[in-house]
Amino acid sequence: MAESAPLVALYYALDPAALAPRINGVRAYVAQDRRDPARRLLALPCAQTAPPQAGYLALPPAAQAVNTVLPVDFGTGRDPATGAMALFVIFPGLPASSLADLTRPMPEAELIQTVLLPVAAALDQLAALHLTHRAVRPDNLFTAGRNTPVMLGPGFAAPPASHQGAVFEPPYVAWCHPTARGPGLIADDVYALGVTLLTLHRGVVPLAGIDEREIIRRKIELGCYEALTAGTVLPPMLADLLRAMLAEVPDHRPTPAALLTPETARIRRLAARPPRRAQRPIDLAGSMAWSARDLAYAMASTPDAATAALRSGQIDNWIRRGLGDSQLALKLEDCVHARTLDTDDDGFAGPLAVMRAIAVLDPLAPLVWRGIAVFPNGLGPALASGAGQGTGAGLGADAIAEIIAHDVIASYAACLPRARRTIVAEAREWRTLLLLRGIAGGIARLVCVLNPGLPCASPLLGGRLPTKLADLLAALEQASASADRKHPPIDPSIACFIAAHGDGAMQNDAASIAGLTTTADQLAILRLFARLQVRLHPQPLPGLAAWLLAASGASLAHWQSRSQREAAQAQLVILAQAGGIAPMLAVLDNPAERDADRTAATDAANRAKLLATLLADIAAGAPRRKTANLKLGHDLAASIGLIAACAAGLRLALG
Amino acid sequence: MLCGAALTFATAATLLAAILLAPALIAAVSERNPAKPITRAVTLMGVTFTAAPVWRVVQGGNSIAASLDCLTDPAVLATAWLAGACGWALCEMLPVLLTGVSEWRAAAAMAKLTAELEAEKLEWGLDQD
Repeated sequence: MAESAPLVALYYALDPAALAPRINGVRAYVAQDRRDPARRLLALPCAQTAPPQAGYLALPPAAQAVNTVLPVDFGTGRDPATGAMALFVIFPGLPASSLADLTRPMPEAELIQTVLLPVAAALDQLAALHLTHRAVRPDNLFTAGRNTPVMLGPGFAAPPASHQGAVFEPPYVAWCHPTARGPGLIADDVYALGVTLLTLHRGVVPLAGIDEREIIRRKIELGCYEALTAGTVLPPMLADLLRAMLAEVPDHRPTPAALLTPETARIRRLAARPPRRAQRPIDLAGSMAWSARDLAYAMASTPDAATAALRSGQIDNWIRRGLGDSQLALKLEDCVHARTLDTDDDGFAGPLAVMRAIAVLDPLAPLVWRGIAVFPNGLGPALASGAGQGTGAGLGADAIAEIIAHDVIASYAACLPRARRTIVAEAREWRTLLLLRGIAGGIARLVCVLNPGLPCASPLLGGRLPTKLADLLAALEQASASADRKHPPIDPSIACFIAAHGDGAMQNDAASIAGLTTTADQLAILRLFARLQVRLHPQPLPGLAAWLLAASGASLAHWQSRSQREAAQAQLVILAQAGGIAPMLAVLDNPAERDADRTAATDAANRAKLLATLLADIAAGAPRRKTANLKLGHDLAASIGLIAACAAGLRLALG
Repeated sequence: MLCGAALTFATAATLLAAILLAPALIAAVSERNPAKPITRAVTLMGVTFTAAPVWRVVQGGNSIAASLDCLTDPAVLATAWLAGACGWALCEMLPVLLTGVSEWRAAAAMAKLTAELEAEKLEWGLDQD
């Protein structure tokens, strides 16, 4: 590989010419680890709006899984295809061809031996690592040739299930915005594996060419297995396996470990009560619902009509009379009418009632807010996708901010079974971060906290994308050469990145930066960078130090004594050239000297007032002095006359 | 009453003194300042050169003739009047002189204070307040 090959994270040289598989629709690059050239790796570029999964990136280096890949490293480098900096995840090599290229239906025996067993083993190991895959589909299964076990491609290089079509996901996941599906359960991977097996056996994707909403509707109405296998004759064993794997309720699906012995897994049947079906449907803005789950989906699709139907009691009536489920009606009333639906002055009670109603009607349903379906643990990638694109293609950051700020997640969790309420404490922490004032709070902080694998994409970095705190300082040092030094080397992106990746002290430092202009802010910025340098980057940073110095005008201006200010400035220039930020902070942030300066300034002001008063007195005293001098002159003349007279008298007396 | 007694009992000497101290009398009449500083100075200076001729007239029998002799001596009259003029001149010049000196000292003090004030302003940026 050429010495000039593009590098990722300093060590991984990319070979754009080498054949590499396409993953998530993006071509990966063959990468060579310069520390171990014999190691064959792949590097996959990730979009800034689709961060890799944090759980995988945090795996210890010793973690291993068979028949799938785990990330070896991640970092930034220049993407040879676009020429721009990008985040790459590095993982072991995969065969170049995927099962999406397969043009023939796969027989049952081959399917079980080469797909089911290896993928089940991979999922079993991921489950042992408390991870889910969420990208099991034919184009992410790679094979070296016929009758060889497949390798499961990476699912961690994008938000969970974000590249899964509605057909590969259970309906309650497929509702969600692609970036907000959350890591889900290993049972959802089993479901996707079931659909994959069906696809490979038939040679075509089930329900191909049908609109995703229609796929979801059919799955809900008919049941997943029936909807997906309609008109297909399957071998008995595969049919039994798929019936179990495509069960509506995750708990009813076999575990990956159970799938390792398919003969046992096929006879494992959990009796699931078929959903209660009404005699007549409820019409919600043109959507006909026959069951509670149908109704939940229809309400999610037409939130305004759902609010009106809830207000008018139409839904309650239908559940009691049409569906004949008075218990569900009672539960719905408890949950929904606990909020005062009648007074919706702030436009908040309606969406909240709809969200609660959907959660009650379908306990597997995601959180649906104003028509947007999300799983709370998928909000991080959703925010990243929205933050990058405003409210366009990504999920609107405003809607997510509203969900977090108004504690909607806690309301959602209150309607769920107790086991699924673990997210509430975490959601309250998010709320605190969202409402945090200053440049290290708000949406930007949440994006960083919820997406720890996301690089810092501040415009101050000049296109560099550091993924770690130590890299951030190096990137700022490089960017300092061409930076506009009137502004400090920090913005909300950088402050939030530091706060999200740093320790408690750094979080406090970042939180103390309210703006960028006041003396207190500039000292807080200096303190933050000094701490970062001491902890993470002991090498000198002359460029960054000079940048900080140039932007510390207010801190220096706050020094009232001109001579001391000039002396400090000279000292700071020397310290900045040496590249030490902490010594600069010691000069600027010296409370004793500042107090002395403040006291001396007060004394000087008093002294100046006194001098001005004296000058005014002298200037105004001319008439008074003239009068006094006139009197003195006259007295002096009289005295001279008196002396002369006395002298004459004495002379006369003495003869 | 004192003047009347002096005029009665020492007419010649009194007339001589009155003529020699004529500038003082003129000053007394023309000066408007109630403290009469010019009159005082002119009188005291005039007395310096009046006392001796008057004493000589008194010693010489206090005669009109002796008194006229003195008056006809230009040295006596001119000296007395010149002394009165000196007293007036002193009254006019000394205040001017003293005012000049004091204004010069005030200007020097102002220059020193202004320099100090400017230095404080420069050091502490007080002119920006």
